[in-house]
Amino acid sequence: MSLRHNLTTLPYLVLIILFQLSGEFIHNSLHIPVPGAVIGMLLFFIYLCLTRGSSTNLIDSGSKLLKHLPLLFIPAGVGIITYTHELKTQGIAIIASLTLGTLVAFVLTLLIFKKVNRNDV
Amino acid sequence: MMSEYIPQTLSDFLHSPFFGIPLTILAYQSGVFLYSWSRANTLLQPVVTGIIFVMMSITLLNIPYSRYFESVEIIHFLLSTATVALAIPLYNNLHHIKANIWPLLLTLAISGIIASASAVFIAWSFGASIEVMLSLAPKSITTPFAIAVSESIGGYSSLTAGFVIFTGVVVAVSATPIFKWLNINDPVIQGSAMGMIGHGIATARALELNNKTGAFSALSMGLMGLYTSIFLPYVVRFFL
Repeated sequence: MSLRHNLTTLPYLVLIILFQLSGEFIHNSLHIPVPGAVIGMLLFFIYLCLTRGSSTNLIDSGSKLLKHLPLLFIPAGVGIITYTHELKTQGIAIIASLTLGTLVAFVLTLLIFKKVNRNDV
Repeated sequence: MMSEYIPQTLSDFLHSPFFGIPLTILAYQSGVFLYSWSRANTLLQPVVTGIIFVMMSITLLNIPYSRYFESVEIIHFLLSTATVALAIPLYNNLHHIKANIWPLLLTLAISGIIASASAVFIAWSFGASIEVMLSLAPKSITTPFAIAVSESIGGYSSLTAGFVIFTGVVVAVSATPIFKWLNINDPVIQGSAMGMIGHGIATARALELNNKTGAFSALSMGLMGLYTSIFLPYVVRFFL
């Protein structure tokens, strides 16, 4: 990856951060409960649709950030250690909800899609 | 000015206001290494290894979580930036919507409610606290959305991060046996359900099954994240 290529990434990263900050601003000033980052994503999505994908450089810059998305979860994830009390006292409820709830939702989603798909054809 | 931040010894290094950044990146890299070494074992998600690595390090070094978090706040900020960037894969997969728009949107509309409601209902019937239920509600959506939603509805965002990963692993591991059991072979249905309920972790698994399954999983994960993070805060505001 050349230096020139990296330099072209920066303005696009700034553009994405501007959408992020606009989202935060709308979230705070209009008291919309939808998270600021989600509003920012919607604005960015509309921008991509209006500009027909804008430039390949913008797509590349954003994709570069997404490549290491799991790294960005670590700071929040480590915070689990501050909730050992909840995990000890409500562990069964949590495990039941995560396994049983997820399997039920997954099976129902498959069945619903199969049903509406057949009706559609 | 900056020279005071250059660590000379391990203790200086730990007192640097940014000590958590190299620690977090190192933890993530070891996670990525372990994952590829195990030939992409779903249970060895790089983020899980990374989180455990950092947890053990700060526990051994006796560093409180709050001080670790302050040192990596810039990484947490970039999580929001990456959330905005999720518009890109959604835009790239948009052409998949057109051929399947009605079944896809109809399923999404119902599935989003089922995913949150089943999690909250089961936790409630086992006597979980309100905060834990709120942390469970966004568990089927991709982590950046889930953390943001959890923060905004009054859940514990750190717990949510863990719950989301766990959920993704459940879907990734159970997907193939469930497809056989229900006799579902259409990659559109398989991928959509995987992305809606199991977000990014199931999408990685979907890509192993089939390219089309992967594309629909990626698309559905984006739609589900967007849909849930818009309706859930309003539902919670209405009830609480």
